[in-house]
Amino acid sequence: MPITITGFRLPWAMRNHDVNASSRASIPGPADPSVLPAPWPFQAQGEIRGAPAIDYAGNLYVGTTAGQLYRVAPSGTGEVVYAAQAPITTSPALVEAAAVGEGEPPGVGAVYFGGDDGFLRCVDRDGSLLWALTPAQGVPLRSSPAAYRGPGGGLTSVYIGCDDGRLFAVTESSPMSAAMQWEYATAAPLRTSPVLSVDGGSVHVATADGYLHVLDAATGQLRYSR
Amino acid sequence: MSFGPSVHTPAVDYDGTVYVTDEGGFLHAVDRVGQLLWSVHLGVDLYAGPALGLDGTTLVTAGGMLFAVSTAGTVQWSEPLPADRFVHEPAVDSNGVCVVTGSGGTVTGIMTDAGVAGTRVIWQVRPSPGRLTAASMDGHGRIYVGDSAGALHAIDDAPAFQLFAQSDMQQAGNLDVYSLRESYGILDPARTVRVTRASSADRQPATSLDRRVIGYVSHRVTSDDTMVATPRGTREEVMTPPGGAFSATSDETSPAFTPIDDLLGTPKSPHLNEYVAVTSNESGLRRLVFVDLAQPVGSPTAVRPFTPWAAALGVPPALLSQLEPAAVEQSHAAFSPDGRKVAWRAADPSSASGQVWLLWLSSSGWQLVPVGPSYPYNPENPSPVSDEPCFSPDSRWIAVRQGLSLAIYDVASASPPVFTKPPQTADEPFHPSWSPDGTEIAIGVRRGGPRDLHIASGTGFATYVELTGTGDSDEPSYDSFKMPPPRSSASAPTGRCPTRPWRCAGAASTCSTRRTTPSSSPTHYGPPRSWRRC
Repeated sequence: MPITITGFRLPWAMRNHDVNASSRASIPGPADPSVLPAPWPFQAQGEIRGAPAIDYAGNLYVGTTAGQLYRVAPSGTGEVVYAAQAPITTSPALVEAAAVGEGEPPGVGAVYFGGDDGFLRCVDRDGSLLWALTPAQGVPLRSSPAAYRGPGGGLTSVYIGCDDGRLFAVTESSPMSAAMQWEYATAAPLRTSPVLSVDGGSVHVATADGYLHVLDAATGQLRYSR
Repeated sequence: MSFGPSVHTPAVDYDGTVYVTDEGGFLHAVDRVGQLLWSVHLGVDLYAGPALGLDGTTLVTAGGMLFAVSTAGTVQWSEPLPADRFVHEPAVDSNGVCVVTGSGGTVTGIMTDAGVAGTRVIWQVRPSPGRLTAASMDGHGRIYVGDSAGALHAIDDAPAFQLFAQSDMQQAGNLDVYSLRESYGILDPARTVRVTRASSADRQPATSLDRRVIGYVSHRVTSDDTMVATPRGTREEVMTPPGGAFSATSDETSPAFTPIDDLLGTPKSPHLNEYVAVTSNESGLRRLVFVDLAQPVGSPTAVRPFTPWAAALGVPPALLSQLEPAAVEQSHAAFSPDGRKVAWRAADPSSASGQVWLLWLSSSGWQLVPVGPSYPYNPENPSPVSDEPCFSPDSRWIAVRQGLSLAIYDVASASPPVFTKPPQTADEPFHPSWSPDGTEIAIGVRRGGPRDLHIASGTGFATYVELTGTGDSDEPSYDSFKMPPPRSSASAPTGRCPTRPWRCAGAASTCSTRRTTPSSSPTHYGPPRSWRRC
């Protein structure tokens, strides 16, 4: 098996690392690690149920059941950047900001996360709300969002499942606004995460009643279900 | 037809194959048009989706085991996990180490790559008694997990330098590549790992800037060839195989990687691709050639001689014509971390003289300049390996052996070099390698017979500490790794400015090279992200 050389992309952009849920990092992990002492662990309020998303600078974005989105620096210091007032039980998804010069870390363009109040929110790296949408207010979003931005930048599409069984596709029309693009109804609460093909062309969602649905990412049209 | 109850989050491979698990204990593979390729039953207690391992394997936890399933749907191996309940997808690093987190608070590292004998569990920690999230990994390879009490835990190696070197410390008479961990000349023997185990000599290790691969030279069949492998020595691959650009008897030595942006993983300008430079005798002379790591191994198009490689970088014809004079041999390329300089040794057997050269993309364009005086070169010696240049992490200084000393040149000025030499005048320093924080230089020192690794640090790099006393350890190469915290001011080396106050032209302050580290960071952390220059 050849050793392939590829760019890094965001170190851990969302649940399971990337839109195709490879769970595979681009770099070596520790060889003989230990749990780091103070100032670690960073203590947040509530439970952490979703794995953190991580940007190039090593900042962690993590939500809690107390409804807060934290940004934690690799030094172990952190802060609440957004208070959602409703539990966040899944991993946020990051997209990077526009390309920068060589040797400069791309920043985070946007952070997407769902809450138990039914809102999918988009905030900037400092937690300022860019937009919020609710496909069904009050129906929890307990599926980690998958955020896809095509090669060369452009507008982001976000896919997320809802406890009422619907899968939603949201597309940004600008960094400050987004609209529901399509929805697809399944028969069971959707708490797994949507997973995209590497090219972003299809969305895969698995359901608690044992089905795999594969949809066209642009239109929501069913390609197959089994 | 549906799968079993409760299908978990799937994973999609590059070819569109979808891997899904269900709580009936099955892993299924479905092709891109929805055709079921295979299903394999892994056992009960399957609560999470798969991760995509190296070599196309799929990794799934089920029934207290980690399973590796091939693309054909057969279980390649399974490994018992420490007692816990696993409800999250594993994470996998670029070495193939799989990280699984449990509901009982355990985090376990399992080596999934081929060639593992015995247990695959290589480490385990328990950051919390509570339920953990899945693991995430940052750009330095540090692992983070959250828990049900709201704590976010960091799991990482202790800060230290990681140094690759050739040695026969565990099998006398057979050089192998070892990975050592040290902090300012203090070796941690418990963290010394034999990376290669071939019966042939493995030597001259080199590390890529992004820590993802190492290169070394090995005589496996009929000639010396350059190998590339993971830093654990797995997934070894011959980069200069016979056929294509290299014959069965060609020798390749002295690998060096072109620099990569250690944030983005892309080649640094002006390099178009990532290359490993090696010295090959295929043309009849030992000459530098550049193997494109993005091309298929063995492909003739993957290999470029020095001149066309430099031409692609934009080096003007007037300089190109001087890169490979007739009958002049070359060995060992050193690349500056900023991507804008390459230094190499050139030797003319007819005049028995050698010279270190620097090709430099300066602000005024490409320059070709000699570094230091020429030196006697013995054409009878088939491997003139004693004068390898290396760059400081800020790309400003070149260290190269000169006689019995190590000479340190400022490439930006015509200042006289700083000389440093081991305490015994008969000792010679070989193969310098500059640490990622700039404070120390690892070298091989010959004390009569075999060589051992030493660390030179302090003012003018004049303080030498013996690192290995095991005999025949040489050719150090730093991995950026997790750098140790700076020493206290009382003992802080000033080696990064290697002489009396060096001042940069036009700058009022004393020259220094500093890694930009967040001031709130309690320790140095990860590879150097960027370097300030005077």
